[in-house]
Amino acid sequence: MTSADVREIVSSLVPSGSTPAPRKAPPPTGTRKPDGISRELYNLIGNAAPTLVAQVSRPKFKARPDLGRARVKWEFREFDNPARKDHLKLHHWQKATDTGAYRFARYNIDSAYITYTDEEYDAIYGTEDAPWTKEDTDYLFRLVREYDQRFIVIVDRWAPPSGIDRPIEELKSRYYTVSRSVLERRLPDDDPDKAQMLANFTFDKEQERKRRDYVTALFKREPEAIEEEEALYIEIKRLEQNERRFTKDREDLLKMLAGVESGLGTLKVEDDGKKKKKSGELSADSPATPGAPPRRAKAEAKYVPADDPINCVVRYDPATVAGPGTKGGIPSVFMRSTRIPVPKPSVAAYVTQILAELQISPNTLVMPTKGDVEKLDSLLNTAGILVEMKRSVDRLDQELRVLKARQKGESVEDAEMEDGDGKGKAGASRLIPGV
Amino acid sequence: MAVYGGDEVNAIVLDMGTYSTRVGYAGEDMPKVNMPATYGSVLDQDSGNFKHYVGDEGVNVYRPKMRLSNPMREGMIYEWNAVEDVLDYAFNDRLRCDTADHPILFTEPPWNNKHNREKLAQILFEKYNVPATFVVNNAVCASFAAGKGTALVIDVGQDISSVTPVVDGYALTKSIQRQPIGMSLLTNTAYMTLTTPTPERPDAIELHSHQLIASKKPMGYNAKPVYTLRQDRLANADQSWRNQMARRVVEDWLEVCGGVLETTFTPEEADKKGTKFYEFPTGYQAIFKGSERLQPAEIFFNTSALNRIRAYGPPPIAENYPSQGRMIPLQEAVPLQHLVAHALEVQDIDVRSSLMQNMVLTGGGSLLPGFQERLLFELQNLTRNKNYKFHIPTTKHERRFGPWIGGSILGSLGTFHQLWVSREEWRNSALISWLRDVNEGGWGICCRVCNVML
Repeated sequence: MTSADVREIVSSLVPSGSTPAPRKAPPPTGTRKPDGISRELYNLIGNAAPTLVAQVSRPKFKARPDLGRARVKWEFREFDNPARKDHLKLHHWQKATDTGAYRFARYNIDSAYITYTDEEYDAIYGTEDAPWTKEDTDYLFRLVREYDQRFIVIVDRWAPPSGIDRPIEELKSRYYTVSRSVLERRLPDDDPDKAQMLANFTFDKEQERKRRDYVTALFKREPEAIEEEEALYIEIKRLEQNERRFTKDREDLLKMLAGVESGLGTLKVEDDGKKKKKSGELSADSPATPGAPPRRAKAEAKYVPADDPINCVVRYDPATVAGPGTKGGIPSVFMRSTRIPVPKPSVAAYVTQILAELQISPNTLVMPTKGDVEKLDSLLNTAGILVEMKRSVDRLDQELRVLKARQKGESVEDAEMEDGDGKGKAGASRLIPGV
Repeated sequence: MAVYGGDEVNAIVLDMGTYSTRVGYAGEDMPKVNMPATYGSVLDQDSGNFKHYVGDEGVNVYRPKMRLSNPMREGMIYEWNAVEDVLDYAFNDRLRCDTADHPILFTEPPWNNKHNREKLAQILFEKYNVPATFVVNNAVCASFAAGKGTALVIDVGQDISSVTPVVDGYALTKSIQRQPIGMSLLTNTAYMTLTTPTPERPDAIELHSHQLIASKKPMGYNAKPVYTLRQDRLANADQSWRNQMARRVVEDWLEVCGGVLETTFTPEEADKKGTKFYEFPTGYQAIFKGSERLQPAEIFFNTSALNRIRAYGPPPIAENYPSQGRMIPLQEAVPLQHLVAHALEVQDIDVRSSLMQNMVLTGGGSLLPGFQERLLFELQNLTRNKNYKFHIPTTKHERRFGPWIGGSILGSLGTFHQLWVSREEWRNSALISWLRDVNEGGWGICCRVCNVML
């Protein structure tokens, strides 16, 4: 029974005319639902369904087993293990096609180990080989072979004929020394690999003992000590980072404000890095003062080579010659001409005039020496003082004149007017009588 | 295939312990047979011989005058007359196999003696006609089962707690530490706890096993149980069987309620772990507080608890053949964390840290909830070092059968098959000390393969 039948039955019960007879649903006009998309989803999105999705996400079922292929036959077979010296036959399942030698036999490998004959031993050690006996050495070599040079196991199993207990470094040392001697005798001198081979068998017992002591000490550290070390390490890293940041900031500031790019910023950082590496924890003790000059630089500044006076070299303390572009007391690069003294700005014009009258020009100093600069400096100073003198003399003359005119009976108003004009002058004029 | 490295030759792995015997095929993840180590013997009146009963249905069933005894002590075979019955039962009744087709790998404790090892091999070769055998140290097996070639194996077994360092697949025998503080002592302690009246429980709990109960009535919590005993059985049951069955009740109680507090034991702290409900075979129902439940296991970690049990510990163990190495006697026993710390302390400095990072806990004690956490806690506090790491399988059966699983891995490796001691080798009198040699040598390749595989 379909739903249309049900509706028909129901509508027959209802008086006709009240509801229109259900029309047959029009045949679907839209496009057919594509494969790979569920009906519910298609109803929701309709024709807007992206066609690509339907193409890409076509459901994939598990690949059918390929039954057509030839089946592999397995057999329960007896096998012989070439790694064994007896004739033990064990059984296992194996592919019928697999008929080679036992495939795990190839893992039966022995590491290379050294043996010696009695003659060799006698030739090397004779009989006076005090702490060790031949029996013990034989036993040691047997164990080394048996345990594949695992000395930790060897020292555990150690029960030699002589009954002497020996520490692990003693056993190692003995093994390597004997092996080395045997090799040294056995290899011809012109063997190119001889040195290399012998080097493989060098063993320093003392160093090994020291290493073990050191590792033991490391192991025995208290947790507090470990924590402190870790904290110090983190502190170092933090300081280094700070210092680097400071240096960079300084450099940036200098570039921006003074326009100086000395190239020393990067140098400084590298220098700091080297210093850290060399002196390790030292830097952790020093406070975070990235600008402070390194101690080494100061020490060098105090050093004066003996031939300086002959070469007329004069060294200045960097701090005293700090000009623009200095950094941490180290002067940056500058032109020598900038070091020629210039007159004070307030008197520059007069001084230049005086120098012109004397027919001296600073431009004539092409390569100024210390003496030249000092003389020029004193000349400029003197000229400056002269100009100052001249000025005060002029001023005093002027005031003298004014006072004299006042005495002659000039009107008070004129004087007051003058006073209002320049308070400074009037103040000065009042001061003069007191002097 | 090369990575897996397995090649099964249908070997059987036999792991005999003091509590149970595990037998199964190499390459499987669980033993096929797990049977109690004890056996029952009943005197046959007609022939005058003793008839032996083994297996779960042999031991745990009531039989008149059946005496129970354990052929194992400290993990070593101690009474040989029952061993063949055990093996017969395992091979013929349970595995139902012809042993002539199966090489047998058996485990032994690190302190096993040469006599035991040779005798078991002789029985296997002569009676069971096996083509080949091999013997492996069970500490080594436990470390292999955990996927480690180097490990510190802490085995809390039935009779003995032992700490065995294993380096590259070799047990370092000189530094093995062991003492008779095991699960049987824990059972004794729990037995005392249950049978000692407390203020909440004025009557001692009666630990009759269910085989002896004729009827019982449902009662409320803590109500005095009403039950009748089977007097006929009671009259005829051997005392050893009754003791053993009572111990089974206690063991069951330990499995349900027992555990270890993760931190230092105080009754207040232990009470926070909550209560647990248990109904005894007599119908007695009780709720056990945390402090009551977790107190017995303190014998492993607490010196004062140890001092208390020294008074009523198990009798001194008589040995037919002395085991190798020294066992710390009960009177000098120390908490387990001291045992571990000492075992580590005597190790070479170069392997100490790798042993600390690879600690394997195995044996029945490892099944106690909280055992590992407590041991770690105590170790860290004792040695002031936090660098310990345990490798414990999460599934319970892997903990229970650790050594067996290690043997199963080993016996199914392709590279292992060159190490079997064949009948031919065994017969050869020149190889009379074969067991010592194979046990100590030829391991490198196994370890290498195990490392590749795991």
